[in-house]
Amino acid sequence: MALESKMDRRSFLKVAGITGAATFGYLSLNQPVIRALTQGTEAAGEEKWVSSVCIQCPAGCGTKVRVVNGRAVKIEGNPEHPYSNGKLCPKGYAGLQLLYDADRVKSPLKRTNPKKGPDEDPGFMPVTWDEALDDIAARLKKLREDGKSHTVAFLSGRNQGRAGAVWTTFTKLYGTPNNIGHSSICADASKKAKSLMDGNDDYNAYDWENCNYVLNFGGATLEAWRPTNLMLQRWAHMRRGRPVRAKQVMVDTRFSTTAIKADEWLPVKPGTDGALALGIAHVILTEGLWDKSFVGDFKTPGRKFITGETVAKEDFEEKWTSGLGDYWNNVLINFTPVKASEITGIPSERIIRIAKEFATTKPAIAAGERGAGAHTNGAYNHMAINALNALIGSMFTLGGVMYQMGVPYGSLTLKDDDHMDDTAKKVDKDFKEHKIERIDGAKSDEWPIASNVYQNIPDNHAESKPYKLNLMFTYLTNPLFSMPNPQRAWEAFKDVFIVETSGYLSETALYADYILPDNYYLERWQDMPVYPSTGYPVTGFRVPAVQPVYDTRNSMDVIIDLGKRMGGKMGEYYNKLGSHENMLREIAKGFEKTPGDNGVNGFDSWADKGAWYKKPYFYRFINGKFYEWDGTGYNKEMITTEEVKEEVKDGKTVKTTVVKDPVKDKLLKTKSGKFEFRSSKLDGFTDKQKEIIKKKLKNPDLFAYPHYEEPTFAGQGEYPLFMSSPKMITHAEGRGANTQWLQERFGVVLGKGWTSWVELNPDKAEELGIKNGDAVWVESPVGKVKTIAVINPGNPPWIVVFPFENGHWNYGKYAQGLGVNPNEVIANLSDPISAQSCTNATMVKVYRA
Amino acid sequence: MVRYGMVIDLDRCVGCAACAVACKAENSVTASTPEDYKKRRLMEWNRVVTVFKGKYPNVSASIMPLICNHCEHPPCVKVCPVDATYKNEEGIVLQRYERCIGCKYCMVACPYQQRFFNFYDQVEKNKEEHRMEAEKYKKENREVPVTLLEIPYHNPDVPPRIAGIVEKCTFCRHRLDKAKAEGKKIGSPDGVEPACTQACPAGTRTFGDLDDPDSEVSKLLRSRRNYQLRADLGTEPQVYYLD
Repeated sequence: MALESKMDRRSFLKVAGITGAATFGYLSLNQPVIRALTQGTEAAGEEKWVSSVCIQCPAGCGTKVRVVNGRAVKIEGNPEHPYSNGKLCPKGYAGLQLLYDADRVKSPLKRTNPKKGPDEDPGFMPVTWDEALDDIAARLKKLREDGKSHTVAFLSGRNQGRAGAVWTTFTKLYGTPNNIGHSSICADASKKAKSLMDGNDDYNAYDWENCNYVLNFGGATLEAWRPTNLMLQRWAHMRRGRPVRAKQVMVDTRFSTTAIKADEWLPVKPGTDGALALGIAHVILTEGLWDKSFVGDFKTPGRKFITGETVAKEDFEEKWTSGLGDYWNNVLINFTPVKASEITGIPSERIIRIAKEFATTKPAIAAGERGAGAHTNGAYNHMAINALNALIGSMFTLGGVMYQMGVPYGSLTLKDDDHMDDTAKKVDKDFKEHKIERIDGAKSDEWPIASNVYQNIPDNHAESKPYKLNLMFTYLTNPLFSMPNPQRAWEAFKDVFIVETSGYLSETALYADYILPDNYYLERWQDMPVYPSTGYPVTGFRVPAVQPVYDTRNSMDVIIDLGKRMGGKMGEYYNKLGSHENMLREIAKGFEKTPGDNGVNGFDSWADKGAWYKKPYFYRFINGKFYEWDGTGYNKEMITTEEVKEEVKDGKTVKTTVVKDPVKDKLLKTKSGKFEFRSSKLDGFTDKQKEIIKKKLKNPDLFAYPHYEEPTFAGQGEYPLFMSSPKMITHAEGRGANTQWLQERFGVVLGKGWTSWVELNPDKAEELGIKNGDAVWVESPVGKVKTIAVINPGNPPWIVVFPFENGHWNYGKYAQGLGVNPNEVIANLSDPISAQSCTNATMVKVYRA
Repeated sequence: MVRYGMVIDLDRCVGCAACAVACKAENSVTASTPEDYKKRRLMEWNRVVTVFKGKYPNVSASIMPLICNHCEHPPCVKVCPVDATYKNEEGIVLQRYERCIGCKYCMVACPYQQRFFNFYDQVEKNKEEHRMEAEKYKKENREVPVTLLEIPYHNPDVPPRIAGIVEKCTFCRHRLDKAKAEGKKIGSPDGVEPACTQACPAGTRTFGDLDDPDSEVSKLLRSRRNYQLRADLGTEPQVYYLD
């Protein structure tokens, strides 16, 4: 029996008659029904395709949105955008459901219940934008007058492009050092590892198209490694899109989608990826397989490294690397494949074979991400992995690794530095002199190179170390949910005044005093430079596809509006700036000087095409030398030049030699201008910094080298199983929990929808008396949660896999109460070098509920 | 005469399900709720399945997308008592929604389980809630937000379906008809394709005329890797897989 329906058969037939001509099977090109079909029922409708950029992950894939009669009806990949090439991953299409979600916050809200807690009803009541912003401005001004401007923090999630710049300026002019990103709960271990060895504090770009061998340590290429959409395209290209099929070797603790599709899967024990990389490096050196054109060679040709035998520095002439002799003598000398095998669980013959294949199948790439990084030895793991690229000569080569070039935006004529008043300048100075620290401790002696230590904010605030926060803005980030052991924040943030900008009732929104709901990305102007991958610069453009569905505003404009209400020099700046669109128009002027390959040369053409990009990647390492692109080829050698300058100082003529080293300036940005196997940056830490950090290490003598730091696990000894908490391809950065199209197929490979789960190996499950689908408790030293067990026949028996997505207090009617949050059982551990949050370093037990 | 078919290269497929979501978006296939899912009412004109073999450490898995195979000898057409499901002259197996009586005989007959019953009208769930909220706006003479209207993101080229009928993949029939009316080419690589084919980031699918020896699909079928699902049943699918 059909359910009660507004549309009865008669009206249905009427509609079907116009649009459903096909259903009658009348298919002749001249039939009037066909003409009506092409016009659609909304024949009077206006149809357009609008440029935009998906926001479901940081990749920045350009989209085209089909808008009919002012309603968005389909999102597709933009053929003009080099990351989309007309395609999208599953998350991209689901943007429609997030735009038109009935559970979105529909207007600014003010809290009426002063108590905060997981079970407290905030008692939100709608307010006007003016009421909210005037109140917030008044509070900010009062804090400033009381000398407490530094107790205001801004926590951000997805704020690429000018969005980030708006916030950076606000905190600078207001006078607080607490402009805090979330990258420590993302993948900072790999970034910092690179900064310590080749001076680039960034993710690699990769020339996958030309690569023939991939050794991947814990980067879930086919699930959540960014930029996912482009990764999928490149993967398929490397398999079937060219004559030479690339070999994919996946090093991972679980039988992920990527492990399923790879040629070989190396099931390492958790946290031991670095040991595998070191064992491989040992083989490369003892077999004489290192790349002579990048690394250099022994003065005696044909000489190789020998296990157990030190090498004198004078015996080896390095070219573009430094510290190889020290690296060998201190770290690699006895790190044989047998030793690596004992640690990782991978048979030594296999390690030897993979090492030889990797070093002799050119071009090859060693890469990885959180699988190797989210451990207490994450940075050192990544240093060992990155060192492999140097050893086999993949730095900046065809088919090798690169770094993403910046976009040549025009500069803003309005300079925020010119509008810093005395308070702002004092805070800036105090921070640089370490008189004031950040609330997360980044840049302090404990965390000298950390970008942020997001996961420690709740503890620091609770203990007033260094001080208590008074006011916190949050933008597309959910600290009460997305960090390990968020229970700390549930307690700690009860006394902070929170201004939330999310469009959903997230956990942080439920603790908020004001919610200033952001437009959904389809409702606003925004630039979106891409996540590193192509090397050549790309930036996408969001054009409002529809009028805002609810009473929401672009958060960038809200901050500008708030800034105007602050008065003084800060207010002056924001009044002059006007709007976010003005910023975008100014930066687009840069494209007049540097038009994109597709002709984009300003704001209008950028909006029309949806992407500005310029090929090729500007640099290349060929046969021992570095070259720049000269318009036709990589012909301009990058050579060090010396210029002698004559100056008259105190009546005397002084000659100074100015050395210009373009490779050091642009590519190998280290102190030595080389790829450093012994990090001069780490050596350059102050004694105090070294003291604090070395106390956290098990091998403090090897502090400055990539080396194997035995990983620490919370619950080690008492809890029997390792746990990995990965992201699925359907996981839209923590903002997709209410999206039906993603939730109903959330676990694509395991076929699970609308649920949380923990994956167990079949033998382990049997041992524990657990069957597929049974309700189970997952318990750690930090807490316990109840979910269901799912058998993954491929996972090793010692690991539990607990994907991250669900367990929300609200976030919409579908998300509310659905599943559980793995973070509630993950301990708050951090890698001592990078501050990477160790989401894979908690041990658990699983038992039937 | 044209005979449309598809080739799916499983070596390219990366198990992302972009095809599944793109299909739902293109064809306005009803989204499920947790309750629907528990009752196995999930509608997936296009779905991805994984088959595991063995277990750790000797384990492998195959990931494959499934759609209606648009069989040459479709069991669903044979059993339909009211001639609602039929195979058109272009080889596409289609559904006359207005004739369907919802007996589900076709669903039983399909060996690929790719036919789906509509338990609900194709509008947002919680219609009562929405209607009540919409009433509030109307009472105050305010514009009703789009979300509270029915079918906020429906594709106007595709007919909406009512409760009580069966539906399935149509090879995006509406796209093909539009292409014909506009004089555009049909078929991979540079003609109009179904949404799943266009959407796949891995370039897994190819669509076109199986009876045209120069079409991309025909060329791909020269590969020794090609096979059909349940070829033993004699349904003669027009969807081929490359191993």
